[in-house]
Amino acid sequence: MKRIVTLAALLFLALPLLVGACAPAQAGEIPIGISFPLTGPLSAVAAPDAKAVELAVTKINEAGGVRVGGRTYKLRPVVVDNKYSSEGEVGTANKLIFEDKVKITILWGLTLPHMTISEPAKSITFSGSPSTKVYGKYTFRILYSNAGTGPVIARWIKEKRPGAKVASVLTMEKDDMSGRASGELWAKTAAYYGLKDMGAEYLPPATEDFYPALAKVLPLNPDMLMTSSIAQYGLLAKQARERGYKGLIALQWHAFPQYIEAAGPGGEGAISTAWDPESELTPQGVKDFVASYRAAYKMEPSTGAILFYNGVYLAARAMEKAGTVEDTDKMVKALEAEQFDTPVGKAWFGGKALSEGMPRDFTVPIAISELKGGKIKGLARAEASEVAEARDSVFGK
Amino acid sequence: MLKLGSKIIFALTSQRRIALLAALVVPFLLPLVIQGYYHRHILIVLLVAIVLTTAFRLMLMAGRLHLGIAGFQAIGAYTSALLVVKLAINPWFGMLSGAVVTTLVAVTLGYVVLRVGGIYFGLLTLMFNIVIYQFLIWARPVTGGIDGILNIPPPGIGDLSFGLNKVLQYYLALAIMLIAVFAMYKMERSRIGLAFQAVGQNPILAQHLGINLTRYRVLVFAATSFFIGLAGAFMVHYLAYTSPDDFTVMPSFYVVLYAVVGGVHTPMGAIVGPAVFVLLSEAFAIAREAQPLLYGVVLLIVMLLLPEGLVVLPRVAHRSLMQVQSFVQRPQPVGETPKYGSIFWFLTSRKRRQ
Amino acid sequence: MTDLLLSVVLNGLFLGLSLLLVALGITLMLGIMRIVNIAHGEFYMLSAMIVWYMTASVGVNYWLGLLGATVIASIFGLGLERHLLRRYRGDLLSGFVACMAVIMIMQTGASLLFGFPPKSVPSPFHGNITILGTPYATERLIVLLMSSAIAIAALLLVQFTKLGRAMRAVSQDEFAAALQGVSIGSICRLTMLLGCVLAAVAGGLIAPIFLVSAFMGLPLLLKGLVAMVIGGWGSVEGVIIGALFVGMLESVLITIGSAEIATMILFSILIAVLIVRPTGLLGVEAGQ
Repeated sequence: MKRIVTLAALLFLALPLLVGACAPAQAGEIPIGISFPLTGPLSAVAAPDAKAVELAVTKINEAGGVRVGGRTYKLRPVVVDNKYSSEGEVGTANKLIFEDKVKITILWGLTLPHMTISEPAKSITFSGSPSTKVYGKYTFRILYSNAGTGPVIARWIKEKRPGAKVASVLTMEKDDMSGRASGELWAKTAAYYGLKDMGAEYLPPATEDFYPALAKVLPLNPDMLMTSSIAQYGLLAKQARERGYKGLIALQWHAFPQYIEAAGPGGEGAISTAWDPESELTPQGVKDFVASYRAAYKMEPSTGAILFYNGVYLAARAMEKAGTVEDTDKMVKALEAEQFDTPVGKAWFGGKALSEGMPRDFTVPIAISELKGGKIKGLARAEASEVAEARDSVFGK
Repeated sequence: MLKLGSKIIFALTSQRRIALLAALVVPFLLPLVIQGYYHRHILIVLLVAIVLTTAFRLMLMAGRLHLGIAGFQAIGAYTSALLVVKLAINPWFGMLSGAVVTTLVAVTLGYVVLRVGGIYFGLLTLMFNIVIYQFLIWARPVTGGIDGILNIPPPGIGDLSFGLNKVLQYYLALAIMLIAVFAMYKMERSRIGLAFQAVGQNPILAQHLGINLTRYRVLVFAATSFFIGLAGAFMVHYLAYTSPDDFTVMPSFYVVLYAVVGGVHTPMGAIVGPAVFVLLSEAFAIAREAQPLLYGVVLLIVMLLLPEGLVVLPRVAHRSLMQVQSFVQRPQPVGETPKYGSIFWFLTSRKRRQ
Repeated sequence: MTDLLLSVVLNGLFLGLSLLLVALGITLMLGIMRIVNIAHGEFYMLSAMIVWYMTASVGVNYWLGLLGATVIASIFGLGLERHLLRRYRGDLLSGFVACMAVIMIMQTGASLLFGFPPKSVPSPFHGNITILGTPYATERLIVLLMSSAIAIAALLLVQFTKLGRAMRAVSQDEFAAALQGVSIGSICRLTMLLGCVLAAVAGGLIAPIFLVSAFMGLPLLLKGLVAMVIGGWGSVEGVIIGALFVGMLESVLITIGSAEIATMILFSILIAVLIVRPTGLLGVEAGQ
């Protein structure tokens, strides 16, 4: 008993010794928080995107770092595993913000618990998910905005695919805040473009077998089947075709090419917003990124990875334009007011242009591509100005 | 006065008491030693894990493998969060009602589900966990679905809000942990615990002595559920946020790992297990994606070398040291077989076989 | 209407049969090896991963890949039984924790070895066929037929061969079986082999239809446990009925309601079955 008690006491005493050793920030370095679920089921999609963020940090440093007020700073990545749980998220937020003193965090995970720490501490968060209505002043979203992708795709189909004769659309979304928000946004978009919205079918996020859901929706016979949040889009396209669906299938999201190409020959002609690295429509910055990502990690990056990569450039440019590496209020002002040159193209804050209750997104160029011969082929590129225009025409300034 | 002084001196000179004193005082002083929000957060999470592991261990003592801890935690968490957010009830009262509702659920279910034993009960609680998880997602209008509940107000005393004050939160968690562990320890040492020991030794005799096991089991189930619910309720007010994703089967499984790694045979095991896991998670953080791999390897090593749990490590180390000594000095081997596995088995196994 | 009905039935059959092979393995292991092998889903995952690696990266024929995956997964499983699971025979708690360790190691190992992003395996069959006017994928039909054939073969093996009799004897009364000259050790090994082969074949067959990821094992395993509990412990025909019941119920409920309702009702039915009849609808009393 005595020894056991001593052991327990020792364990408690050993805690601070072990955890106390954390490196202090060095002068001339800006820590960038990278909080991703690196373990657990979601790591399958999140861990590869985390590597894109690190790649961006390396590239910015190689290009000379961040120049603020006549000084040059290097970015220092602080990678943490948030385990995609509230507990882990609060822990990593505490670690990044109070121990490592990060001013900007790139986050893939539960944004809401992270915000409970980052908002009062005035630390900026660039979040990947989910698209929500409750973002605070210091929280931004850096992935595609469904308020932008929907109108862009709808307009493109109307102008470039008149033969498709799309009159009615049925959406299939994942059953969470971002899926529901996308469903609502799409209903407005469909109304603007005179499409009959047949409603949305909400599915659990990890669905891979869409047959039962398709058995429910296909008898309605929609002209177009669309999703803005289902990652397993390729499977949806393939299975819809297998069940004899003849209409148009479209994805307005940033999925893995593996996910889209899983459609195989059956998914021929499915439309998505993924970037095709081989197309000349794709910006050079994206091509460079894809090439170096392939070389460094021997795999294909997702469209989400491209946007996360872009997010680090946004952060660096925002610090340069704000002329500070400490004052987050100034950075937020710069982020909301300025235009930025990023690898994907010109980008600026778009959340403010929309009525309240919209996510705090950035307006970035959007790709439109098609699945041809089992590969993603670029069809068009909408510049940020076109995206903003399409979005504002539907949702108003 | 003199008497008290001599008592204190006696207490301090007795080694065992020093250890006990240290074990009690050190947790109280920890937040003063450990600065920084992150490490205090880790400590708070550890204290909650200790409550859950102790509860799991007590259920195990009652002969029931509880694989659905997170499900019961979710009941306490959501009850408290919903009461406080939707009906604007005082968070203290919310936490208490969370624990009480969890207990009520346990008592209602208890008389039915506790009849089945062994793996059946394990699967039953596991499935219950999944039902609760799915229910929280499905009942979107009430629970907020997969997005959970935001801005859950923290408890406070007068104008003093616990909110982001990690020291106060730590002491609250410590109080919950001490009460829970002490209550469950007392329960184990009471007539109830004795009854289960008796059943373990001779079930037929125990039944003939008129021990009403089902009633005792329901009592144990209710008590553990109370503390599990309380821990869940504390956690949501601490995190200010909750979502069904926090109550999947994985947290339940982790509690089982904590208990077994610490050792299920003594109450101390339920404290050592989570503490070791917390230390490991800090040490393995640099391994990033490979963390679970390292956990798995450590788990296997513990399972193979110390099947009784890490709690016996000092005893085994002591024994092994003696064995190494005796191996060097080559005395005759003693006849008794050691109760615990030795980590230096390769030195002694041949001798023992002869 | 008939169209919808047929789709529901086909979907239910597919859902049921795709988890049947895994559920069969779990039930045999529980009955004979007396261990809740929650790591069983990982063999399913391992096999799917190897099929992906062999077809997409090495460039082997799909069927050869499936064979290779089955062999590798079986060898892995036998090694696991020999060196780990055997120690925990009948020890519920330690067995559970040892299996958790195996899950952690295999999931992370597979992620690190084969890469994190989900993978798609090119399908050996393309195109649709029409069953009574309802379009259906050829690959799914092949999987349906193959898993039915394998399940029937397993049923025949357990019911009518000498080995099957020995297995049932061990699951009913180990001591008496040993007295009759049944080698418990080799029966355990054969059970593990059978379970691994079933899981590996299931993983290889499903791989082209869905995505392959390192974390695909545990969700399927939980569903397999449901099928096993509803049908009965240690009873092959019970598991077949349980798996088909689970599949059908899920298909119907998703079509008329939603996926969450389906899962909730399914697990609630399961709790009811466990309370009313803990050994399952057709189950024999398994060792505790």
